[in-house]
Amino acid sequence: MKKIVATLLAMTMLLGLTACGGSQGSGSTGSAGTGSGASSGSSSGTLTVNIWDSNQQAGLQQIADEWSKTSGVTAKIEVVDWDNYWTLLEAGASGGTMPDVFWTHSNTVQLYMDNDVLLKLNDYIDKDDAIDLDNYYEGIVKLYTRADGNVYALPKDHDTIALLYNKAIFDKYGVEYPTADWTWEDMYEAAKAITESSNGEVYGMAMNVSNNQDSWYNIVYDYGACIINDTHDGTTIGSAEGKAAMEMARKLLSVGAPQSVVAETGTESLFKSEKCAMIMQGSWMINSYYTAEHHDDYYWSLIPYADVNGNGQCDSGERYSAYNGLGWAASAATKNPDAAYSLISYFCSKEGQLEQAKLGVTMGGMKGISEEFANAFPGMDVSAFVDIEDYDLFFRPYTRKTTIWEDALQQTGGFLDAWQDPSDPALMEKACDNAQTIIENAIAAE
Amino acid sequence: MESARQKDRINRVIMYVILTIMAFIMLVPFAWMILTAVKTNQEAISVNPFYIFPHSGWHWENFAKVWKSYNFIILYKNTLLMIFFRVVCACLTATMAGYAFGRLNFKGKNLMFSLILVQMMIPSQIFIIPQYLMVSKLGLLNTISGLVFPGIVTAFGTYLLKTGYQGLPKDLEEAAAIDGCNIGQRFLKIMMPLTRSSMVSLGIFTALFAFKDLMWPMIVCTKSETTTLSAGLAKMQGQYGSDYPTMMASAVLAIIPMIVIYMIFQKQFVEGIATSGGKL
Amino acid sequence: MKASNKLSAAAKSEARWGWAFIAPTMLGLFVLNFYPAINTVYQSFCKTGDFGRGNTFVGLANYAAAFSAGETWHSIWNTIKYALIEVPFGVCIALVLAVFLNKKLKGTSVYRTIFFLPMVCAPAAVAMVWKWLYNQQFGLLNNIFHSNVAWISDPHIAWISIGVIGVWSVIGYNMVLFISGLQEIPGDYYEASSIDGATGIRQFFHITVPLLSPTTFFIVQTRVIGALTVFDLMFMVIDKTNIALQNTQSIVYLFYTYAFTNGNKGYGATLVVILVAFIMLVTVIMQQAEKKLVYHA
Repeated sequence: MKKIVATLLAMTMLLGLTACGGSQGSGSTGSAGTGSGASSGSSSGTLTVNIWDSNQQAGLQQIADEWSKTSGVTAKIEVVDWDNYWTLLEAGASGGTMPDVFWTHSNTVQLYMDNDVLLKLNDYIDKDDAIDLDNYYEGIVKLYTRADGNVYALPKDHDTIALLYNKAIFDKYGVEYPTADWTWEDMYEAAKAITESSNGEVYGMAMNVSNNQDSWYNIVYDYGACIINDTHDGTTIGSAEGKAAMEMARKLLSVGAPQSVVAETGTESLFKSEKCAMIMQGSWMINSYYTAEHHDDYYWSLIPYADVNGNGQCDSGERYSAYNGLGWAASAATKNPDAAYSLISYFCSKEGQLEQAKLGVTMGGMKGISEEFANAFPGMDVSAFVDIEDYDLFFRPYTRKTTIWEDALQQTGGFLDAWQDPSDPALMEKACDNAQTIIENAIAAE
Repeated sequence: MESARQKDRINRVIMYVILTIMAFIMLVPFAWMILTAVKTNQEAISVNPFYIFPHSGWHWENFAKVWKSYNFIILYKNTLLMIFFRVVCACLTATMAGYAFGRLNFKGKNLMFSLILVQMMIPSQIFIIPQYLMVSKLGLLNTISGLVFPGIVTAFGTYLLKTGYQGLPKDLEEAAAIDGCNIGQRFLKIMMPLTRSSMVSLGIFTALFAFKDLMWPMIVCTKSETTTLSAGLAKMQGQYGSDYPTMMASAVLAIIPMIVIYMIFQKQFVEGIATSGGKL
Repeated sequence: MKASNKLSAAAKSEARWGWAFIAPTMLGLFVLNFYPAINTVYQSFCKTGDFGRGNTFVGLANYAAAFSAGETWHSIWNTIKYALIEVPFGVCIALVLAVFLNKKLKGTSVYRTIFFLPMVCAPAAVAMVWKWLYNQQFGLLNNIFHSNVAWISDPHIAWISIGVIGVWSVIGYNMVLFISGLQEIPGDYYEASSIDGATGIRQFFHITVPLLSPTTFFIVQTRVIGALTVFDLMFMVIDKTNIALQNTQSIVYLFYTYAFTNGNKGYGATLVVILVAFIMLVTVIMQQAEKKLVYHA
């Protein structure tokens, strides 16, 4: 007994000493961290891969296993939820361990590229026959290329937006189904009819305004305004066009589920619980509805357009869908850069991209393989996501620090009052002016 | 006299009614957690009709599903190891320091003890950023050592044990001193065993605190295979927030071990909290 | 002379043992607490570079930014509002329950076990369950009462809902402390007063409340500090996209967001220094109040 205690006491002393050593090591806390060298995560032979979407895990793991057969290196795909994902990467880049291979997103990638924490891919791409950057969507390639020409990620996928509706609810209230010729006004009328004839039991539509990509951003572009211009240094959200678009968004919100409901329950649960007849969703969500219990009632339709010139048909520039593309990137500190690139290359090669589309994981980052994806869901017609490519696409607006102004737009002084009380047009008009200032100030501060 | 007894009886009934209503309120969340955990998701989100009890059978397999898909074994293991090392470290360092502060006289003692009191006054949030940076520099992110790190020593425990040692009678030690025992022997053989109840209090307090802590494990252990139950739940909610039966099943799994331990060692828990009364 | 030499040898030995025994703890405190506290204050004057590289000294800029940001004041006020619910209700309900359970009724141990149960549950799990109970569409509360209240996403209500979770979680803990305080009140006080014909309620206000005031004060003080540093409940219940976020997030939640989600350690340090200063102020005020309010027998 005495011996044990003595040993433990000694251990405690030792721990005390180690802790002390630690403090000396971090005497200049925060200054001049090197970021590299600390990496100790992967032993050779295994790559750690991090993603944030659990819907895609199974499919991507299958593709990665395919790659392992030829490379002899194991790739383990782990899902970390969106919020924690960025905390994890941030911690990794600040001196901890980053995963070897991971997804990048337009919200944050600029910061990571500027600080050289991502593996530079140019030399690998030059030597790689499977990859030709011209084969991918330009917006995505441009996003992951730094101003000096360094490429830090390869396009994993692209996504578009479509309208999802529940036929059973439309039948119940005797409202006509959405068509490819629908304008936002038509959608408003239908939503209004359902909300009113169900006495608020069922919402005609729901829109999660904090998920801007599949909601109000699309309306803004349809009306000829933009969130961030092509040169990434300004916005027209406060213009007459922007205000007209947001007025349309306001009308939709006024007949849809209140934001308090949406924020808490999410449009997905609302729709699946038959509390809501229509929602707009991105292509990355298809699988969730395809495998849902009542999927027989679910149908996809082309995203509505804005008949700005009033000629009764959809002209060029009147129907937009946001698109975004994730990138596959590797850590600059990875122990095994060759294997990491090889995995990325496999995911983004024609073979990997076709496989990804066929498995119904997502549409490709490579152009011309969307048809494969449309066929991945027998029994459910998802062509709305592919057909939109015959119209206009805009890349998800981003600047160097996207989240700063995106968050500010959602708060008091931004759109918050208008989201909460969509019955008042004046609130929305004021919010557009606020938004113009918020974005301009944020860009100026970058 | 008769009326006084009657009044007493009425008082009793009122007290029982109030106690029972409160007990019911306390138990509802637990009951609802378990009832939701054994439903299907479609049942959980069906409003019309609204099911209190599962309607298509009790889906106990939800637990098995969650157990497998979230690697609960690893979460349990990490939590247990963190608690174990924190309790051992805290008890060891605190009993030594508590003995010195409570029973010995030496120069600088009062100054050092006032530092202990100062630490107890400062909210611990002010330590977190540098502690995190140290753990990061030492390469201890995503390790058990990283989880244990801020709990190696405890000012509060030292204070608690000091009070415990001070309460012991003086002659015990004097007799041993006459027998020729040096201070170390006196401490190990005589004094330390006598403060067992304070140690148990500190142990329970430390274990509960570690078990309930959310922020520290969340920032030092960002990966799902290195984190604790608390932080693991936060991750699951972010990932599968709208699959309610799954969420509730994992919540049940996360709290069951501590509840079982509490049921077994109830007396020690209640006494531990009553005597330590620390900032939990 | 000889005697004093001998004494000092014993004293020296005692000092050696004493320092050896406190060394691990003191070393640990310096490394893990005192140095970090000072470092945090230092960092609060710095701007953190991307990914923690290159701290640049910016003087009071972080403080200027923090004090001019609406969200800082909002979150301080949110934290106070939370404390204003959790502390008074948590203390009063617990006191009543403790008095009842101290009456030697049958079955008290069962009640005590139940009331204490939330104390051994991880707040993360507790918050998840309550979030589900509060759910506007599918939650138990709205379905039982046939109401349609946005318990946790209506900015006017959400802070109360969060406070209720806090009260529910802390009742058992306060109750246990009250019971141990009650057991120290000598029984003769009550016997004497019942001979005088005092009723239960009068006894409660004239004997229990004053004699229990040191315990009450201790509980209030620890709970106030606990409530002012609340984090888990808000973090788990209020999602980033919840429109009630601004009206519910606590100052520690805001600190977490800046320091660990946005990676802006300098600004996070500023927020935490403001919080600590605020808590110190509250502590001093409470110490002053103790002298006036607490009954010392």
